[in-house]
Amino acid sequence: MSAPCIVRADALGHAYDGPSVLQDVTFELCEGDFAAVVGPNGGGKSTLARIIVGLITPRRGRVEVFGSSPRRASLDIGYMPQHTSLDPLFPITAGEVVLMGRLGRGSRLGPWGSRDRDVATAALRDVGLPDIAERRLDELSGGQRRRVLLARALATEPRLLVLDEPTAGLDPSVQDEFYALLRELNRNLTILMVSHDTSLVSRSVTRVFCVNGTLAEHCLTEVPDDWRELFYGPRQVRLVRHDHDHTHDHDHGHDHGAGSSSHD
Amino acid sequence: MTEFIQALEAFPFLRLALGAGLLASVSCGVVGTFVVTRRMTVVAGSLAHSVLGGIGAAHYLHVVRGWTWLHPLHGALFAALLAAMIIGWVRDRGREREDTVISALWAVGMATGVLFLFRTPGYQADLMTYLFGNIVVVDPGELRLLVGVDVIVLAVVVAFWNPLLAVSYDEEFARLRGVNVPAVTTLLLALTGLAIVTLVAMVGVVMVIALVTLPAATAGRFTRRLSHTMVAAVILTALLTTGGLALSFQADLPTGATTIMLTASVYALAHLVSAGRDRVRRRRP
Repeated sequence: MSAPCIVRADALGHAYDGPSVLQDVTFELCEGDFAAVVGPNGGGKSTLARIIVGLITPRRGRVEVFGSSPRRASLDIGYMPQHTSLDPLFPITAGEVVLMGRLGRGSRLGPWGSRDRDVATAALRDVGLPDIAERRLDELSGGQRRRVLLARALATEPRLLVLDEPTAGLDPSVQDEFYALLRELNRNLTILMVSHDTSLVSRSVTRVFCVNGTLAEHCLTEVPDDWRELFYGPRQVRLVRHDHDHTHDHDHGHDHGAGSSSHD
Repeated sequence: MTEFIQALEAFPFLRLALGAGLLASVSCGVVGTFVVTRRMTVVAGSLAHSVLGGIGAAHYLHVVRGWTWLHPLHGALFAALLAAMIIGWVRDRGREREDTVISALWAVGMATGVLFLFRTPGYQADLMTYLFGNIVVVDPGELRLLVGVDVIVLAVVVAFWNPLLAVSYDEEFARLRGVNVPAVTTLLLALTGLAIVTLVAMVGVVMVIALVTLPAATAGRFTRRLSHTMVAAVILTALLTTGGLALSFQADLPTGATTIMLTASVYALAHLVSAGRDRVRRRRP
């Protein structure tokens, strides 16, 4: 029996003030999936993520999350935004950031309850940072800050995790660690992750959606060792073979950038 | 300093001014921290200037129409809350550019105040009083009003601390977690208006923005939590208003301008100290 569908998008389209950012996007995300949304800058990856979490209402088409509108389902979604959208100098500790994930779940007024604090502590432990709750956020490294934001998303006790460029700007080794952590979380959680980096992403995920205006799903296939060596040297990378579903593939020329996976 | 303490014993108006400064420090320190961290300084500037319209109208009604129960600060409170609601509405659903509306409120509030004060006997002196502050205008009724504002500000901030912090740090995430962001933003704007009103008599509408923002910005450089920043900002504002009052009394200078110069000097000094500390930290292996 196949896993139940969590996200269902049908002929989704969106534009801001100019031309369409997304058009005719159709896909399903099932329970247990770990999907990467890859594509070039400006291709609509983040817009798609923001539609799924309910921050943007699409102009065309229909999207359902857990069988209802994204806004209604938003309390069941753990969202990790791009780190650049947050003020790096804001006087706040890691623990306070994680506790924000309890909004909508825990105490509405006054101080946080003991269960909220327990969940936040567990979330920090799950991301491998059990001792930094009292540290100010701008004292942490870039990788630690991303983990704190991930812990905040986990503190919402989500059924779906949506991550927007969680590893952008991090060293490859830190990215590796982050993806290993996500693979662990994927044992119990469905994950949708926007990323510009197909090379590292492809080692971790179970599905790849390529978005550049529209969406095409790629199957993951191990590329022979000699190819891997040829493109990436001894570094362990699993390449993505792109088998576009041409039903949705109009004007789908794209470039994943230097160092990304090859397009067979 | 001894001379200032003796003067406090001798002159009731100085004691009232000192009390007003200390009471204003509470709401300004708390709200100023939100204003700085949410980068709402221009909005706060607009609120500060728009209160002149309320002050002018209340003063006119008090003097010309004989509404003796109406204090200028009542008008200031009304104008601040009205401006806060307008800005909150524009942020949420207005089609106009937000900065255009903020600028318009800034200028229209001033113009309204000037027109009403122009039609009020004694216009020249009163206009200067409200533009640049005058500690002599502080009266016991005003102190009671300041206590009320402090109680409201503290109660609201304690009760709504979690959504206020979330909206200040990450508005989008707060919205996804079911927080009514427009309502919380309007609440914050209203609190900002109230806090500004508490200081208007002492430093005037033109300079009040510096005393709302600079102590909080100074405190933020040395604290790790928003709540700690607030406590430090309250203490710092209390010291600065008291120091400004003492300095201006000793040197026979206008209290508002003296307090603002002292505040700006402390901010600049803190900036230098904090920059030096960061440089030392970066050099450490």
